[in-house]
Amino acid sequence: MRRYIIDIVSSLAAVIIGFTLGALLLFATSYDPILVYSALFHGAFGTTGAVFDTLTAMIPIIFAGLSAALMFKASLFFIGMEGQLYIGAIVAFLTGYLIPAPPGVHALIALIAGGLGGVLWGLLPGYLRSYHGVNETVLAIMLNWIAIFFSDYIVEYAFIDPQATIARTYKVKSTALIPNISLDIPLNYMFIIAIISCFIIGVLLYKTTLGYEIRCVGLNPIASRIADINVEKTYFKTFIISGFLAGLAGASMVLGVFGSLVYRFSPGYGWDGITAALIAKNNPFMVIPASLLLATLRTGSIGMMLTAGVSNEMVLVIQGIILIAAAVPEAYRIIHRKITFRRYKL
Amino acid sequence: MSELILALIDSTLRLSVPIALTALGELVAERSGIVNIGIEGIMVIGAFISVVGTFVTGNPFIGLLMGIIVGMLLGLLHSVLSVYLYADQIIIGIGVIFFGYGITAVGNTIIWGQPGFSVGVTRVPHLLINIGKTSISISPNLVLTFLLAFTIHYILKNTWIGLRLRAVGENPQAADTLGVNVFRVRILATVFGGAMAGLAGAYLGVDWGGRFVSYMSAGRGFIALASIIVGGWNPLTTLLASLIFGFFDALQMNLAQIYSATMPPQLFQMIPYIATVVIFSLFFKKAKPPSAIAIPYRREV
Repeated sequence: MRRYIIDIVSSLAAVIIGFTLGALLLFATSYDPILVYSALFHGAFGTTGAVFDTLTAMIPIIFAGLSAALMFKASLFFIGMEGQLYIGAIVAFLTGYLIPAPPGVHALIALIAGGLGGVLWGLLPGYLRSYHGVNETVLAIMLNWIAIFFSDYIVEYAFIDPQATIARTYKVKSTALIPNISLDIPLNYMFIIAIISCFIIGVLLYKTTLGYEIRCVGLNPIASRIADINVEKTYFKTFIISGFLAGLAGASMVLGVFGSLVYRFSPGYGWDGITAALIAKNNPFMVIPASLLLATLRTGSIGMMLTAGVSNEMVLVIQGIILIAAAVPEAYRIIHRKITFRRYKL
Repeated sequence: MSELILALIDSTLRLSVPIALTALGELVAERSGIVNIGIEGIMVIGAFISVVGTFVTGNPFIGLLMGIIVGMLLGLLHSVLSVYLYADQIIIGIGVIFFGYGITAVGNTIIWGQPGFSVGVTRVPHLLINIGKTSISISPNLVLTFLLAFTIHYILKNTWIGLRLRAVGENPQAADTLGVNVFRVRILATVFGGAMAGLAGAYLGVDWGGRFVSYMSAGRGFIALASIIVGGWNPLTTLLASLIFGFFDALQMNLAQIYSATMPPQLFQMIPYIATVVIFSLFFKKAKPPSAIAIPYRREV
């Protein structure tokens, strides 16, 4: 329990440091930080529509965040969620556009196909990392770029809709669309599935044998091997589950939000997921609030750009500082020790 | 046909330089036991700062120098956090990459008032060697890259500096017992790695591109990491690996130019990344990384 409190406090401290240093940077470049941050907050929560936009942005971030959390729990530094998200989106689009199926079932099939697309994209690095020890981080980045260029090819060349005003493909069949929860709530069912997934992954990680193995392997692969855990297989299983989640992130955007594959539709949801997982200290339940924070930054950044005139990439700067601050838990421990030491002396 | 080959050689040399410079610097850091995947972020910041410096002063060499300095500062940040605060080196690296992509895009909008790319600036002068109708241009940075590769190889192998560096990366405890300052060696090595990544970024900005473009490094930092692994943590083979990766980047650009009318360009853009995956998967096994890589050294108390 004590550990959880330390984790939460250090993550909160990292977030506060991120926003504070971000404010200083804004101030140094002659912006008014209060104005910028209020524009950001207003952009994310100012109107009912904005609130639902933020909640919708949470969907891919939660899925990517769970995907990253599983990876990092197993001490695998695979950061290819962005690529898996694009491949998941492409496969979901192709299934929704090319294959006819009855309503209801179709959306489900397309969704699962999207998830499997993510799995597919993780198979090669997963196999090479698990069984041959190839560096997964480098492979992840290369596969990200290949996936993005491949989606460019699909969107701008192979399936381009010439009538559309933006660069996008044809719409998927209406049977493949994921409906909104109700007419008054512009939020699709994937939001509920995303929240449920957090609990499923939480149970998987803390209540099942596989989850136990993943955590063991992450802490100490050599000790796990001695304890008769098949380390390679555990790594590979982690890649498969994690890939499925990252694929769902992309599929849910195509089937639930756009209804087609849009040119570079992800402003970096895969990366947001990685940040969310790291802020959540790889705890699946904590991924929910962490995703809310990152979705706020994402949606708010547009309001920030329009109202305060700050480039929307400012949120990347804040994310970067948060991550750097979150990477040094020792600093908080040292501060903690200093404080308790002083109390002891008094 | 020979013109085509010359053009290919020319662009291979140009495109290898940023990968090789970054890889050589990061190799030194990794031999000391520090992994800095933030070199991707340092590159993009180096590119931006160098273009700003050249834009203000009009002298591209000042731009290069500013790239080196900012790279050193970021290397210092990375090393201090990982050496004294035992930070997770991969997470800091990702943080620096986000920060780099973000701050340069924001800065670009502030300075030039347009998102995406800057105005053109003066570029580093090249030496032109004419062969037939075409010519190969030699950048001073290209010469520097080759010189550095051989110098680093010599220093690592034959001097006391190299011996200490390798000792710190292989067995920090033994090195510490023998009186080598593990913390200082690691910090200096990482600062050097940062400087090289900054220089590589500056090369992209004021030598290769002549302007800043958002996300300019485009994963080259990670291709540099791949070169180190493929090259087996040896400076000369790492240089060779960088040249191979540079060749595929050059091939992509030349093919895209030739077939621009008939084939979609996106298919060519994938080539260097696919080539990296293939080469990387085939050649990773030969080398063993330094034993203490990415593990913070703690003195037992």
